[in-house]
Amino acid sequence: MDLLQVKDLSKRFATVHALKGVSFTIRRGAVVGLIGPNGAGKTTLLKCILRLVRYEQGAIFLNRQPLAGRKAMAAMISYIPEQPVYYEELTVEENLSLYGMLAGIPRPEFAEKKQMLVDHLDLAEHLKKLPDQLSKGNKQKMMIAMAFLKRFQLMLADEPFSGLDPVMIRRLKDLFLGVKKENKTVLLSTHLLDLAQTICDEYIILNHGTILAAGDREAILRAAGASAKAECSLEEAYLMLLERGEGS
Amino acid sequence: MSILALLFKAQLRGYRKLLKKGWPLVGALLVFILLVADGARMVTGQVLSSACLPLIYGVVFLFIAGRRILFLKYPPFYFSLPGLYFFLTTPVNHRLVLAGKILLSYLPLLLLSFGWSILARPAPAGLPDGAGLFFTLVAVANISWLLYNAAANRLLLRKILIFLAIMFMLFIKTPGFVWALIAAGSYGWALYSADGINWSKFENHCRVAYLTRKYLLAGNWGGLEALAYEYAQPPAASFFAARVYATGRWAFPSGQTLLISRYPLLGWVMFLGQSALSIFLMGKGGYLSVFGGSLLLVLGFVAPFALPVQKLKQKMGQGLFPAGDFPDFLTGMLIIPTVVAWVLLTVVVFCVSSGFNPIGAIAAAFFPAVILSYLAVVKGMSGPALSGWFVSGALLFALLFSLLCSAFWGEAFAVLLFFIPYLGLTCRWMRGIYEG
Repeated sequence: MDLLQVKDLSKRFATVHALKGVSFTIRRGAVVGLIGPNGAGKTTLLKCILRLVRYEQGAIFLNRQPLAGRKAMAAMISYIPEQPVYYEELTVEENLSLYGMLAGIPRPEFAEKKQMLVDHLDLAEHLKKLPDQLSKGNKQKMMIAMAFLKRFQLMLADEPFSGLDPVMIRRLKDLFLGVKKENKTVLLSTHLLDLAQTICDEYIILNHGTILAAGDREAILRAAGASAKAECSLEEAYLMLLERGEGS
Repeated sequence: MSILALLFKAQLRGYRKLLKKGWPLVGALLVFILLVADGARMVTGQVLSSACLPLIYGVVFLFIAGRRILFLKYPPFYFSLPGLYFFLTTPVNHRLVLAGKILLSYLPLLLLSFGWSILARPAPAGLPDGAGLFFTLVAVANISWLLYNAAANRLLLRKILIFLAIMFMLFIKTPGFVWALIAAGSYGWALYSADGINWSKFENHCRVAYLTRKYLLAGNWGGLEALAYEYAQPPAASFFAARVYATGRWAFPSGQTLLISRYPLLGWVMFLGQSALSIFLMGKGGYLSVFGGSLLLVLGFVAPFALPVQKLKQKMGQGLFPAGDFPDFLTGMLIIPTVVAWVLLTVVVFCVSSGFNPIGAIAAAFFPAVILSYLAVVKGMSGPALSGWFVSGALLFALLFSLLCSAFWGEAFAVLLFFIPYLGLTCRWMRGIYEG
């Protein structure tokens, strides 16, 4: 069953046409990689879904319903932003508590989830610290913990692996795979193609605001014209698609 | 702990940090407010009759409404960046949060309007004026918020029509309760249309405001520079830069001229305003007024003239090696500010002291001009922190100036007594920085 449907989405910033009639569908329980070079329109697309950016044309449907009020949208979508955003005057634990309370998570559920995430992401020793005392990677872990604290149907993750060490990348990957088992959906923007191959069921390749290819690995290879050499990697297919610069 | 308690805790810790890191700025602001308040009481109590008050209100409204409605690209209030993120990605009632935030943004308007009105006419007589002024400012702020989020089509036309309507209402002396109705209506409209807020634009502006405050408090000049680079418009091609190629010691004043020529117009308006107010305060006489006036003069003058030194220091940190040695640098950086300060201070001497003929005034203004320029260089070298430089510099300048107002020989004595040791100490320190 489809969870997210984006139809003919267009967005222009002054002289830059960030999205040009983007359309795709994501089924429930899928982990979808949103891949593209810098400035391709990935963050803009995520922000359009979050209603942080007004779009001129197109429509977004969640559970086959048009995206309605902000409250309803925020209840269904969780978001890991590209840059860590936190109250620098509150400790890590206080930031997590505040976010949990605002997200309306009941206290027992919050305590259980927090403990699980703190253990999984090795945040226990940092709970009483102010975020500015943490390294970039640990700040990113705090943002990941916040996003996973929330109840959601769709998670939008903008470069979530940025700043993480290999162990933490592995653990975050486990978290995404766990989400998938719960039949929840992830739209994951990343540049790490090797990693994306191990998590994602499907991919959306975006460049200059246009979708170059979308679908599972085989569909991407076909779109790249790589059917004859199906052993080629996603990265090779991606580079071929970019070079050809064709729309899907 | 509840949501409000955590938010309050964050605010409290933020203010504590502000006081800890930015106390010179807060102190200077308080002194400035006290001096302006004192000046306003003197103007309204002694020079102007109460018949002039509507005229003053009119000018203030014209300025505020013009700036808010016609020219302002920024919102009338800001969320902190984490506040915005926490509130936009969780299912909290955003109308309720917005309602509270807009109400909180009225607090400075409340203080401004009642403060000014009570200064102009002591309470309780000033209170109705204060209420009227408050509701007018609130209405203008609400309308500017609605225009900020409005669609781009025919926006300028709408802005002009609204501005003219406000001006007309002021002209016919619309009573306060009508402004209160407009304020309440526009507040309700702002909440009703909360789903139409241009979040991407607002988030962008909140981000700049939040990071600027954060970097300023941390004295993070690199962060500010990166922020300015990210958001500033590229500088216009300079007539000067295309034609002048100066080397050696002349590279310093030519680079300085280029940077000063790009200083924003609003900055020059502030500079002139501060200079005029400082002349007025010094004219009142007395050590406190001379000190206050000097403080303003120093603050106004160093802002544009310290900038080239700050930029050079920053570039040196990034690997630039200027061709000249330290005396070249110091003299090169002093030439242009000294000429400007000399002209400015000659006017000041004329206005505040009757003991000089024209030639005497020009001569008497020379030493303070050099000192003022030197303070700008010291400020440029000391970076964005205000610290002890500000107080010591202003004190030095106030002492010099109070002596200058009385006698030329007194000034020469003060130069020997105060400036030469200050010069010796700071020169040594600046040479250390310059030569790495």
